[in-house]
Amino acid sequence: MKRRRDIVFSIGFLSPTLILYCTFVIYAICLAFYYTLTDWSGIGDKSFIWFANYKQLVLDPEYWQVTKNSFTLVLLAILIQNPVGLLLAFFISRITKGYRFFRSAIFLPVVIPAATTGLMFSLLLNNDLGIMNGFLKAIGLGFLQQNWLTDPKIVIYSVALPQVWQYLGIHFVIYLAAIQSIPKEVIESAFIDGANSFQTFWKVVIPLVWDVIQIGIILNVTGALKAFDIAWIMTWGGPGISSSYISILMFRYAVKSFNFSYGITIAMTILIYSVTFTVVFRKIFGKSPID
Amino acid sequence: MRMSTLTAAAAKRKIARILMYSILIAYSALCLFPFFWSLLSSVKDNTEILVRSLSLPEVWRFDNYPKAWTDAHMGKYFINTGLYAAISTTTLLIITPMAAYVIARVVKRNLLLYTFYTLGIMIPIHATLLPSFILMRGLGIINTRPSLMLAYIAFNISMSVFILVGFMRTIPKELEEAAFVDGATRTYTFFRIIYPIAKPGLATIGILAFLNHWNDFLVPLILITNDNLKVITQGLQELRGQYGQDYGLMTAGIVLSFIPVVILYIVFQEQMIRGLTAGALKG
Repeated sequence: MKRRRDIVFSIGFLSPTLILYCTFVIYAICLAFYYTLTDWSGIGDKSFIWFANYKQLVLDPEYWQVTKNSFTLVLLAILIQNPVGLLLAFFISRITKGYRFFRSAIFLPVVIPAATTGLMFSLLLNNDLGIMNGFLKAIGLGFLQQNWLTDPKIVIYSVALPQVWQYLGIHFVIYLAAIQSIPKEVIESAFIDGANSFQTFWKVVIPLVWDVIQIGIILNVTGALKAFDIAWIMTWGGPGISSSYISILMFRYAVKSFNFSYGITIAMTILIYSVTFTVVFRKIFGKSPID
Repeated sequence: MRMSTLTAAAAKRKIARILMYSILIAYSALCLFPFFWSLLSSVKDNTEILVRSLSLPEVWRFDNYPKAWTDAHMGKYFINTGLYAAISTTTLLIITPMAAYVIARVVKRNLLLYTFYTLGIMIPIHATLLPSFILMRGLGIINTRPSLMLAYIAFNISMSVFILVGFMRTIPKELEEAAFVDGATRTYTFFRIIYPIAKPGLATIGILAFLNHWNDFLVPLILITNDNLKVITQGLQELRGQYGQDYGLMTAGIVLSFIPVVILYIVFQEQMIRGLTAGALKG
Protein backbone atom coordinates (compact mmCIF):
# COMPACT_ATOMS: atom_id res chain seq x y z
CA MET A 1 0.00 0.00 0.00
CA LYS A 2 2.76 2.39 0.95
CA ARG A 3 4.62 1.46 -2.21
CA ARG A 4 1.68 2.49 -4.36
CA ARG A 5 1.20 5.71 -2.42
CA ASP A 6 4.87 6.46 -2.86
CA ILE A 7 4.58 6.03 -6.61
CA VAL A 8 1.61 8.36 -6.79
CA PHE A 9 3.45 10.84 -4.59
CA SER A 10 6.59 10.66 -6.70
CA ILE A 11 4.75 11.17 -9.95
CA GLY A 12 2.82 14.06 -8.49
CA PHE A 13 5.83 15.80 -7.04
CA LEU A 14 7.99 15.27 -10.09
CA SER A 15 5.49 16.34 -12.70
CA PRO A 16 5.68 20.14 -12.67
CA THR A 17 9.45 20.20 -13.13
CA LEU A 18 9.42 17.15 -15.37
CA ILE A 19 6.91 18.65 -17.78
CA LEU A 20 8.71 21.98 -18.06
CA TYR A 21 12.15 20.44 -18.22
CA CYS A 22 11.29 17.79 -20.78
CA THR A 23 9.51 20.28 -23.00
CA PHE A 24 11.77 23.30 -22.99
CA VAL A 25 15.11 21.62 -22.45
CA ILE A 26 15.16 17.99 -23.57
CA TYR A 27 12.63 18.14 -26.36
CA ALA A 28 13.99 21.55 -27.35
CA ILE A 29 17.47 20.12 -27.88
CA CYS A 30 16.09 17.31 -30.00
CA LEU A 31 14.12 19.82 -32.04
CA ALA A 32 17.24 21.93 -32.36
CA PHE A 33 19.16 19.04 -33.80
CA TYR A 34 16.32 18.27 -36.17
CA TYR A 35 16.23 21.88 -37.39
CA THR A 36 19.94 21.81 -38.16
CA LEU A 37 19.15 19.17 -40.77
CA THR A 38 16.66 21.39 -42.55
CA ASP A 39 16.64 24.53 -44.58
CA TRP A 40 14.17 26.79 -42.86
CA SER A 41 13.62 30.49 -42.48
CA GLY A 42 11.59 30.11 -39.32
CA ILE A 43 8.22 30.46 -40.96
CA GLY A 44 6.56 28.50 -43.71
CA ASP A 45 7.89 25.31 -45.17
CA LYS A 46 11.09 23.56 -44.36
CA SER A 47 13.04 21.20 -46.57
CA PHE A 48 15.23 18.39 -45.37
CA ILE A 49 18.83 18.85 -46.41
CA TRP A 50 20.77 16.43 -44.19
CA PHE A 51 24.12 17.88 -43.12
CA ALA A 52 24.38 20.66 -45.70
CA ASN A 53 24.18 23.31 -42.96
CA TYR A 54 27.20 21.87 -41.22
CA LYS A 55 29.10 21.70 -44.48
CA GLN A 56 28.24 25.34 -45.18
CA LEU A 57 29.37 26.28 -41.69
CA VAL A 58 32.74 24.61 -41.98
CA LEU A 59 33.38 26.47 -45.23
CA ASP A 60 32.06 29.80 -43.91
CA PRO A 61 34.85 32.35 -43.31
CA GLU A 62 32.50 34.51 -41.21
CA TYR A 63 31.95 31.58 -38.86
CA TRP A 64 35.64 31.08 -38.34
CA GLN A 65 36.15 34.79 -37.82
CA VAL A 66 33.62 34.84 -34.98
CA THR A 67 35.07 31.64 -33.57
CA LYS A 68 38.40 33.39 -33.49
CA ASN A 69 36.71 36.29 -31.66
CA SER A 70 35.22 33.95 -29.09
CA PHE A 71 38.60 32.32 -28.71
CA THR A 72 40.19 35.73 -28.12
CA LEU A 73 37.73 36.26 -25.29
CA VAL A 74 38.55 32.85 -23.83
CA LEU A 75 42.25 33.58 -23.93
CA LEU A 76 41.92 37.04 -22.39
CA ALA A 77 39.69 35.62 -19.68
CA ILE A 78 42.02 32.76 -18.81
CA LEU A 79 45.15 34.88 -18.85
CA ILE A 80 43.72 37.78 -16.85
CA GLN A 81 40.97 36.52 -14.55
CA ASN A 82 42.94 33.62 -13.10
CA PRO A 83 46.31 35.20 -12.28
CA VAL A 84 44.78 38.50 -11.11
CA GLY A 85 42.02 36.73 -9.18
CA LEU A 86 44.52 34.44 -7.51
CA LEU A 87 46.89 37.27 -6.73
CA LEU A 88 44.17 39.42 -5.21
CA ALA A 89 42.94 36.47 -3.16
CA PHE A 90 46.44 35.84 -1.92
CA PHE A 91 46.94 39.49 -0.99
CA ILE A 92 43.63 39.64 0.87
CA SER A 93 44.61 36.58 2.83
CA ARG A 94 47.81 38.29 3.94
CA ILE A 95 46.49 41.67 5.04
CA THR A 96 44.77 42.51 8.27
CA LYS A 97 42.45 45.43 7.53
CA GLY A 98 39.81 46.01 4.88
CA TYR A 99 38.94 42.40 4.07
CA ARG A 100 35.21 43.05 3.87
CA PHE A 101 35.57 46.22 1.85
CA PHE A 102 37.92 44.76 -0.75
CA ARG A 103 35.94 41.58 -1.14
CA SER A 104 32.66 43.49 -1.56
CA ALA A 105 34.16 45.83 -4.12
CA ILE A 106 35.87 43.13 -6.17
CA PHE A 107 32.78 40.93 -6.34
CA LEU A 108 30.29 43.73 -6.96
CA PRO A 109 30.49 43.77 -10.78
CA VAL A 110 29.45 40.09 -10.87
CA VAL A 111 25.91 40.70 -9.67
CA ILE A 112 24.75 43.32 -12.15
CA PRO A 113 23.25 42.58 -15.57
CA ALA A 114 25.80 42.08 -18.30
CA ALA A 115 23.72 44.44 -20.40
CA THR A 116 24.36 47.14 -17.79
CA THR A 117 28.10 46.53 -18.02
CA GLY A 118 27.78 46.83 -21.78
CA LEU A 119 26.03 50.18 -21.59
CA MET A 120 28.37 51.54 -18.90
CA PHE A 121 31.45 50.71 -20.92
CA SER A 122 29.98 51.95 -24.16
CA LEU A 123 29.80 55.32 -22.40
CA LEU A 124 33.22 55.06 -20.77
CA LEU A 125 34.85 54.17 -24.08
CA ASN A 126 32.84 56.74 -26.02
CA ASN A 127 35.20 59.20 -27.62
CA ASP A 128 32.79 62.11 -27.39
CA LEU A 129 32.83 61.73 -23.62
CA GLY A 130 36.50 60.91 -23.71
CA ILE A 131 36.74 59.20 -20.34
CA MET A 132 39.04 56.37 -21.40
CA ASN A 133 41.17 58.42 -23.74
CA GLY A 134 41.34 61.23 -21.21
CA PHE A 135 42.49 58.82 -18.54
CA LEU A 136 45.21 57.42 -20.76
CA LYS A 137 46.42 60.92 -21.56
CA ALA A 138 46.41 61.84 -17.87
CA ILE A 139 48.69 58.95 -16.93
CA GLY A 140 51.04 59.66 -19.80
CA LEU A 141 49.88 56.86 -22.09
CA GLY A 142 48.24 59.23 -24.56
CA PHE A 143 49.69 57.34 -27.50
CA LEU A 144 47.41 54.41 -26.61
CA GLN A 145 44.29 56.41 -27.38
CA GLN A 146 41.97 54.68 -29.84
CA ASN A 147 38.58 54.71 -31.42
CA TRP A 148 37.48 52.06 -29.00
CA LEU A 149 34.07 51.35 -30.39
CA THR A 150 34.62 51.90 -34.08
CA ASP A 151 38.07 50.62 -35.01
CA PRO A 152 37.57 47.10 -36.43
CA LYS A 153 41.05 46.04 -35.39
CA ILE A 154 40.61 46.62 -31.67
CA VAL A 155 36.87 46.56 -31.12
CA ILE A 156 37.02 42.89 -30.11
CA TYR A 157 39.22 43.90 -27.19
CA SER A 158 36.87 46.76 -26.32
CA VAL A 159 34.03 44.31 -25.83
CA ALA A 160 36.06 41.47 -24.34
CA LEU A 161 37.80 43.40 -21.59
CA PRO A 162 34.60 44.66 -19.90
CA GLN A 163 33.52 41.02 -19.76
CA VAL A 164 36.81 40.12 -18.10
CA TRP A 165 36.30 43.04 -15.70
CA GLN A 166 32.80 41.94 -14.76
CA TYR A 167 33.43 38.32 -13.89
CA LEU A 168 36.92 38.42 -12.43
CA GLY A 169 35.25 38.56 -9.01
CA ILE A 170 34.01 34.99 -9.37
CA HIS A 171 37.52 33.68 -9.87
CA PHE A 172 38.65 35.85 -7.00
CA VAL A 173 36.19 34.32 -4.53
CA ILE A 174 36.82 30.73 -5.50
CA TYR A 175 40.57 31.24 -5.15
CA LEU A 176 39.95 32.98 -1.84
CA ALA A 177 37.93 30.02 -0.60
CA ALA A 178 40.70 27.68 -1.72
CA ILE A 179 43.40 29.70 -0.01
CA GLN A 180 41.37 29.99 3.16
CA SER A 181 41.02 26.24 3.26
CA ILE A 182 44.79 25.75 3.31
CA PRO A 183 45.61 24.88 6.92
CA LYS A 184 47.27 27.78 8.66
CA GLU A 185 50.17 25.58 9.74
CA VAL A 186 51.32 25.04 6.17
CA ILE A 187 51.66 28.75 5.48
CA GLU A 188 53.11 29.55 8.89
CA SER A 189 55.76 26.85 8.61
CA ALA A 190 56.82 28.29 5.27
CA PHE A 191 57.32 31.67 6.93
CA ILE A 192 59.24 30.15 9.80
CA ASP A 193 61.53 28.55 7.25
CA GLY A 194 62.37 32.06 6.12
CA ALA A 195 60.24 32.41 3.00
CA ASN A 196 58.76 35.82 2.29
CA SER A 197 55.28 36.43 0.94
CA PHE A 198 56.16 35.99 -2.69
CA GLN A 199 58.12 32.80 -2.20
CA THR A 200 55.26 31.37 -0.18
CA PHE A 201 52.94 32.21 -3.00
CA TRP A 202 54.90 30.32 -5.61
CA LYS A 203 56.05 27.28 -3.71
CA VAL A 204 53.14 26.67 -1.40
CA VAL A 205 49.92 28.26 -2.58
CA ILE A 206 49.99 27.51 -6.29
CA PRO A 207 50.39 23.74 -6.11
CA LEU A 208 47.57 23.55 -3.57
CA VAL A 209 45.16 25.56 -5.67
CA TRP A 210 45.95 23.84 -8.97
CA ASP A 211 42.60 22.07 -8.78
CA VAL A 212 40.83 25.38 -8.45
CA ILE A 213 42.74 26.80 -11.40
CA GLN A 214 41.25 23.99 -13.47
CA ILE A 215 37.78 24.99 -12.36
CA GLY A 216 38.63 28.56 -13.29
CA ILE A 217 39.62 27.54 -16.79
CA ILE A 218 36.44 25.54 -17.32
CA LEU A 219 34.44 28.55 -16.15
CA ASN A 220 36.33 30.76 -18.59
CA VAL A 221 35.64 28.55 -21.57
CA THR A 222 31.99 27.81 -20.89
CA GLY A 223 31.34 31.41 -19.90
CA ALA A 224 33.01 32.86 -22.97
CA LEU A 225 31.02 30.59 -25.26
CA LYS A 226 27.82 32.01 -23.80
CA ALA A 227 28.90 35.66 -24.04
CA PHE A 228 26.44 37.87 -25.86
CA ASP A 229 25.02 40.80 -23.93
CA ILE A 230 28.05 43.05 -23.55
CA ALA A 231 29.18 42.85 -27.17
CA TRP A 232 25.64 43.24 -28.46
CA ILE A 233 24.91 46.36 -26.44
CA MET A 234 28.29 47.97 -27.05
CA THR A 235 28.69 47.49 -30.77
CA TRP A 236 25.96 45.12 -32.02
CA GLY A 237 28.88 42.88 -32.92
CA GLY A 238 30.17 45.38 -35.42
CA PRO A 239 31.63 46.95 -37.37
CA GLY A 240 30.71 44.03 -39.59
CA ILE A 241 31.48 41.02 -37.44
CA SER A 242 34.72 42.27 -35.94
CA SER A 243 33.31 42.19 -32.43
CA SER A 244 30.84 39.34 -32.87
CA TYR A 245 31.05 36.13 -30.90
CA ILE A 246 29.63 32.83 -32.10
CA SER A 247 26.41 33.57 -30.21
CA ILE A 248 26.01 36.89 -31.98
CA LEU A 249 26.38 35.32 -35.40
CA MET A 250 23.79 32.76 -34.33
CA PHE A 251 21.40 35.55 -33.34
CA ARG A 252 21.99 37.44 -36.56
CA TYR A 253 21.17 34.44 -38.73
CA ALA A 254 18.34 32.94 -36.72
CA VAL A 255 16.47 36.10 -35.81
CA LYS A 256 17.62 38.93 -38.02
CA SER A 257 18.19 37.25 -41.36
CA PHE A 258 15.41 34.67 -41.16
CA ASN A 259 17.88 31.90 -41.79
CA PHE A 260 16.69 30.03 -38.76
CA SER A 261 18.17 26.61 -39.54
CA TYR A 262 21.66 27.98 -40.17
CA GLY A 263 21.45 30.00 -36.97
CA ILE A 264 20.50 26.89 -35.02
CA THR A 265 23.41 25.03 -36.56
CA ILE A 266 25.70 27.72 -35.19
CA ALA A 267 24.02 27.34 -31.79
CA MET A 268 24.67 23.60 -32.00
CA THR A 269 28.38 24.23 -32.35
CA ILE A 270 28.30 26.20 -29.10
CA LEU A 271 26.75 23.18 -27.41
CA ILE A 272 29.28 20.82 -28.98
CA TYR A 273 32.27 22.95 -27.98
CA SER A 274 30.99 23.41 -24.43
CA VAL A 275 30.29 19.76 -23.74
CA THR A 276 33.38 18.45 -25.53
CA PHE A 277 35.68 20.84 -23.74
CA THR A 278 34.28 20.08 -20.29
CA VAL A 279 34.44 16.33 -20.82
CA VAL A 280 37.91 16.28 -22.39
CA PHE A 281 39.39 18.73 -19.89
CA ARG A 282 38.09 16.73 -16.96
CA LYS A 283 39.42 13.52 -18.47
CA ILE A 284 42.89 14.96 -18.97
CA PHE A 285 43.23 16.72 -15.65
CA GLY A 286 41.14 14.51 -13.45
CA LYS A 287 38.16 15.35 -11.30
CA SER A 288 38.28 18.75 -9.70
CA PRO A 289 37.06 19.04 -6.14
CA ILE A 290 33.67 20.64 -5.72
CA ASP A 291 33.13 22.67 -2.55
CA MET B 1 74.79 42.69 12.81
CA ARG B 2 71.71 40.93 14.16
CA MET B 3 69.73 44.14 14.60
CA SER B 4 70.19 45.21 11.00
CA THR B 5 69.07 41.88 9.50
CA LEU B 6 65.98 41.97 11.69
CA THR B 7 65.00 45.44 10.53
CA ALA B 8 65.86 44.57 6.91
CA ALA B 9 63.43 41.66 6.98
CA ALA B 10 60.79 43.76 8.71
CA ALA B 11 61.26 46.50 6.13
CA LYS B 12 60.85 44.01 3.29
CA ARG B 13 57.64 42.74 4.84
CA LYS B 14 56.38 46.28 5.22
CA ILE B 15 57.10 47.09 1.59
CA ALA B 16 55.34 43.88 0.55
CA ARG B 17 52.34 44.88 2.63
CA ILE B 18 52.22 48.38 1.16
CA LEU B 19 52.41 46.88 -2.30
CA MET B 20 49.55 44.48 -1.59
CA TYR B 21 47.35 47.22 -0.17
CA SER B 22 48.08 49.49 -3.13
CA ILE B 23 47.14 46.87 -5.66
CA LEU B 24 43.98 45.95 -3.76
CA ILE B 25 42.97 49.58 -3.50
CA ALA B 26 43.71 50.23 -7.17
CA TYR B 27 41.73 47.22 -8.30
CA SER B 28 38.79 48.02 -6.01
CA ALA B 29 38.75 51.51 -7.47
CA LEU B 30 38.64 49.99 -10.94
CA CYS B 31 35.65 47.91 -9.91
CA LEU B 32 33.76 50.76 -8.28
CA PHE B 33 34.51 53.53 -10.75
CA PRO B 34 31.87 52.72 -13.41
CA PHE B 35 29.18 52.63 -10.72
CA PHE B 36 30.12 55.94 -9.21
CA TRP B 37 30.57 57.59 -12.56
CA SER B 38 27.12 56.43 -13.64
CA LEU B 39 25.53 57.69 -10.43
CA LEU B 40 27.36 60.98 -10.76
CA SER B 41 26.48 61.52 -14.41
CA SER B 42 22.84 60.63 -13.89
CA VAL B 43 22.31 63.86 -11.94
CA LYS B 44 24.04 66.14 -14.39
CA ASP B 45 22.94 67.61 -17.67
CA ASN B 46 24.68 66.67 -20.89
CA THR B 47 27.07 69.60 -21.14
CA GLU B 48 28.32 68.99 -17.62
CA ILE B 49 28.90 65.34 -18.37
CA LEU B 50 30.91 66.25 -21.43
CA VAL B 51 32.92 69.05 -19.88
CA ARG B 52 33.23 68.23 -16.17
CA SER B 53 33.15 64.44 -16.26
CA LEU B 54 34.70 63.62 -12.96
CA SER B 55 33.51 66.41 -10.71
CA LEU B 56 30.41 66.87 -8.64
CA PRO B 57 27.69 68.59 -10.62
CA GLU B 58 27.44 72.37 -10.49
CA VAL B 59 23.73 72.03 -11.03
CA TRP B 60 22.08 68.94 -9.62
CA ARG B 61 19.46 67.71 -12.06
CA PHE B 62 17.13 65.00 -10.95
CA ASP B 63 14.87 65.08 -13.95
CA ASN B 64 16.84 62.40 -15.77
CA TYR B 65 15.14 59.82 -13.60
CA PRO B 66 11.49 60.74 -14.23
CA LYS B 67 12.40 61.11 -17.89
CA ALA B 68 13.96 57.66 -17.96
CA TRP B 69 11.05 56.17 -16.02
CA THR B 70 8.25 57.50 -18.24
CA ASP B 71 9.56 58.78 -21.58
CA ALA B 72 12.09 56.04 -22.06
CA HIS B 73 9.71 53.44 -20.57
CA MET B 74 12.30 52.28 -18.06
CA GLY B 75 9.64 52.34 -15.36
CA LYS B 76 7.48 49.90 -17.28
CA TYR B 77 10.45 47.65 -17.92
CA PHE B 78 11.57 47.88 -14.31
CA ILE B 79 8.21 46.73 -13.00
CA ASN B 80 7.95 43.98 -15.61
CA THR B 81 11.36 42.61 -14.72
CA GLY B 82 10.53 42.66 -11.03
CA LEU B 83 7.28 40.83 -11.67
CA TYR B 84 8.81 38.16 -13.88
CA ALA B 85 11.71 37.60 -11.53
CA ALA B 86 9.52 37.37 -8.44
CA ILE B 87 6.94 35.01 -9.92
CA SER B 88 9.46 32.77 -11.68
CA THR B 89 11.62 32.51 -8.59
CA THR B 90 8.69 31.76 -6.31
CA THR B 91 7.40 29.03 -8.61
CA LEU B 92 10.87 27.58 -8.90
CA LEU B 93 11.17 27.53 -5.11
CA ILE B 94 8.03 25.44 -4.86
CA ILE B 95 8.41 22.92 -7.65
CA THR B 96 12.14 22.18 -7.53
CA PRO B 97 12.29 21.15 -3.86
CA MET B 98 9.41 18.82 -4.62
CA ALA B 99 11.43 17.10 -7.32
CA ALA B 100 14.62 17.20 -5.27
CA TYR B 101 12.88 15.48 -2.37
CA VAL B 102 11.64 12.68 -4.57
CA ILE B 103 15.12 12.16 -5.99
CA ALA B 104 16.94 12.42 -2.69
CA ARG B 105 14.60 10.50 -0.43
CA VAL B 106 11.79 8.68 -2.14
CA VAL B 107 13.12 6.89 -5.18
CA LYS B 108 15.40 4.01 -4.31
CA ARG B 109 17.43 3.73 -7.50
CA ASN B 110 17.68 7.40 -8.33
CA LEU B 111 20.89 7.71 -10.32
CA LEU B 112 19.16 7.72 -13.68
CA LEU B 113 16.60 10.29 -12.57
CA TYR B 114 19.28 12.46 -10.99
CA THR B 115 21.50 12.37 -14.05
CA PHE B 116 18.55 13.11 -16.27
CA TYR B 117 17.63 16.20 -14.31
CA THR B 118 21.14 17.57 -13.98
CA LEU B 119 22.10 17.06 -17.63
CA GLY B 120 20.62 20.48 -18.30
CA ILE B 121 23.43 22.18 -16.44
CA MET B 122 25.85 21.42 -19.24
CA ILE B 123 23.51 22.64 -21.95
CA PRO B 124 23.97 26.30 -22.85
CA ILE B 125 20.66 28.04 -23.34
CA HIS B 126 21.42 29.06 -26.92
CA ALA B 127 20.68 25.52 -28.00
CA THR B 128 17.36 25.36 -26.14
CA LEU B 129 16.19 28.94 -26.47
CA LEU B 130 15.50 29.08 -30.19
CA PRO B 131 13.53 25.82 -30.36
CA SER B 132 11.63 26.90 -27.23
CA PHE B 133 10.63 30.00 -29.13
CA ILE B 134 9.24 27.83 -31.92
CA LEU B 135 7.43 25.60 -29.43
CA MET B 136 5.84 28.55 -27.69
CA ARG B 137 4.82 30.05 -30.98
CA GLY B 138 3.14 26.76 -31.79
CA LEU B 139 1.38 26.79 -28.43
CA GLY B 140 0.23 30.30 -29.17
CA ILE B 141 1.80 31.82 -26.10
CA ILE B 142 4.64 33.74 -27.69
CA ASN B 143 4.97 37.36 -26.59
CA THR B 144 3.03 36.82 -23.40
CA ARG B 145 4.14 37.12 -19.81
CA PRO B 146 3.76 33.37 -19.13
CA SER B 147 6.08 32.50 -22.02
CA LEU B 148 8.99 34.35 -20.48
CA MET B 149 8.35 33.02 -17.00
CA LEU B 150 7.97 29.43 -18.17
CA ALA B 151 11.26 29.74 -20.01
CA TYR B 152 13.00 31.20 -16.96
CA ILE B 153 11.70 28.43 -14.74
CA ALA B 154 12.50 25.64 -17.20
CA PHE B 155 16.07 26.82 -17.78
CA ASN B 156 16.81 26.99 -14.04
CA ILE B 157 15.41 23.60 -13.06
CA SER B 158 18.61 21.61 -13.55
CA MET B 159 20.81 23.83 -11.40
CA SER B 160 18.21 24.17 -8.66
CA VAL B 161 17.55 20.45 -8.46
CA PHE B 162 21.27 19.78 -8.39
CA ILE B 163 21.88 22.12 -5.47
CA LEU B 164 18.80 21.01 -3.54
CA VAL B 165 19.44 17.28 -3.89
CA GLY B 166 22.90 17.81 -2.48
CA PHE B 167 21.35 19.72 0.36
CA MET B 168 18.52 17.31 1.09
CA ARG B 169 20.87 14.37 1.27
CA THR B 170 22.25 15.93 4.41
CA ILE B 171 18.91 16.04 6.18
CA PRO B 172 18.86 13.20 8.72
CA LYS B 173 16.52 10.38 7.80
CA GLU B 174 15.35 10.10 11.40
CA LEU B 175 13.21 13.20 11.02
CA GLU B 176 11.10 11.66 8.30
CA GLU B 177 10.99 8.30 10.00
CA ALA B 178 9.73 9.88 13.19
CA ALA B 179 7.00 11.58 11.18
CA PHE B 180 5.98 8.34 9.47
CA VAL B 181 5.83 6.54 12.75
CA ASP B 182 3.41 9.22 13.89
CA GLY B 183 1.31 8.45 10.84
CA ALA B 184 2.18 11.41 8.63
CA THR B 185 1.87 11.14 4.87
CA ARG B 186 4.76 11.98 2.61
CA THR B 187 3.02 15.14 1.51
CA TYR B 188 2.60 16.33 5.06
CA THR B 189 6.17 15.40 5.91
CA PHE B 190 7.41 17.33 2.95
CA PHE B 191 5.60 20.57 3.54
CA ARG B 192 5.80 20.65 7.31
CA ILE B 193 9.19 19.13 8.01
CA ILE B 194 11.51 18.94 5.01
CA TYR B 195 10.62 22.25 3.41
CA PRO B 196 11.33 24.44 6.45
CA ILE B 197 14.63 22.68 7.08
CA ALA B 198 15.68 23.23 3.49
CA LYS B 199 15.56 27.02 3.93
CA PRO B 200 19.33 27.62 3.47
CA GLY B 201 19.35 25.60 0.26
CA LEU B 202 16.22 27.44 -0.87
CA ALA B 203 17.86 30.77 -0.12
CA THR B 204 20.81 29.85 -2.31
CA ILE B 205 18.79 28.85 -5.34
CA GLY B 206 16.29 31.65 -4.76
CA ILE B 207 18.95 34.30 -4.92
CA LEU B 208 20.66 32.67 -7.87
CA ALA B 209 17.38 32.37 -9.76
CA PHE B 210 16.22 35.91 -9.00
CA LEU B 211 19.54 37.31 -10.12
CA ASN B 212 19.51 35.24 -13.32
CA HIS B 213 16.02 36.46 -14.10
CA TRP B 214 16.69 40.12 -13.38
CA ASN B 215 19.95 40.17 -15.30
CA ASP B 216 18.88 38.15 -18.32
CA PHE B 217 18.92 39.71 -21.76
CA LEU B 218 19.01 37.09 -24.49
CA VAL B 219 15.89 35.18 -23.42
CA PRO B 220 13.56 38.19 -23.37
CA LEU B 221 15.25 39.51 -26.49
CA ILE B 222 14.09 36.46 -28.38
CA LEU B 223 10.75 35.78 -26.69
CA ILE B 224 9.33 39.26 -26.15
CA THR B 225 8.84 41.94 -28.78
CA ASN B 226 5.77 43.63 -27.33
CA ASP B 227 7.00 46.85 -25.81
CA ASN B 228 4.61 46.62 -22.86
CA LEU B 229 6.12 43.34 -21.76
CA LYS B 230 9.81 44.08 -22.18
CA VAL B 231 12.39 43.85 -19.42
CA ILE B 232 14.88 46.33 -18.12
CA THR B 233 17.88 44.93 -19.97
CA GLN B 234 15.98 45.38 -23.21
CA GLY B 235 15.34 48.92 -22.02
CA LEU B 236 19.07 49.48 -21.86
CA GLN B 237 19.31 48.46 -25.50
CA GLU B 238 16.59 50.97 -26.36
CA LEU B 239 18.50 53.69 -24.54
CA ARG B 240 21.56 52.95 -26.60
CA GLY B 241 19.59 52.94 -29.80
CA GLN B 242 17.13 55.78 -29.30
CA TYR B 243 18.74 58.12 -26.80
CA GLY B 244 22.36 57.54 -27.69
CA GLN B 245 23.33 61.19 -27.19
CA ASP B 246 21.45 61.85 -23.98
CA TYR B 247 24.11 60.72 -21.57
CA GLY B 248 22.31 61.86 -18.45
CA LEU B 249 19.27 59.85 -19.44
CA MET B 250 21.36 56.80 -20.26
CA THR B 251 23.19 56.83 -16.96
CA ALA B 252 19.89 57.22 -15.11
CA GLY B 253 18.69 54.11 -16.94
CA ILE B 254 21.91 52.31 -16.02
CA VAL B 255 21.40 53.15 -12.36
CA LEU B 256 17.80 51.95 -12.48
CA SER B 257 18.97 48.65 -13.91
CA PHE B 258 21.55 47.95 -11.23
CA ILE B 259 20.11 49.54 -8.09
CA PRO B 260 17.84 46.64 -7.07
CA VAL B 261 20.50 43.97 -7.41
CA VAL B 262 23.10 46.14 -5.73
CA ILE B 263 20.76 46.71 -2.79
CA LEU B 264 20.15 42.96 -2.59
CA TYR B 265 23.91 42.50 -2.70
CA ILE B 266 24.47 44.87 0.19
CA VAL B 267 21.89 43.07 2.31
CA PHE B 268 22.53 39.46 1.26
CA GLN B 269 26.17 39.60 0.30
CA GLU B 270 27.16 36.29 1.87
CA GLN B 271 24.34 34.29 0.31
CA MET B 272 24.85 35.95 -3.04
CA ILE B 273 28.52 35.15 -3.18
CA ARG B 274 27.84 31.59 -2.12
CA GLY B 275 24.94 31.17 -4.54
CA LEU B 276 26.72 32.60 -7.54
CA THR B 277 29.86 30.56 -6.98
CA ALA B 278 27.79 27.42 -6.44
CA GLY B 279 26.04 28.19 -9.71
CA ALA B 280 29.28 28.84 -11.51
CA LEU B 281 31.11 25.85 -10.07
CA LYS B 282 28.76 23.36 -11.59
CA GLY B 283 28.72 25.02 -15.01
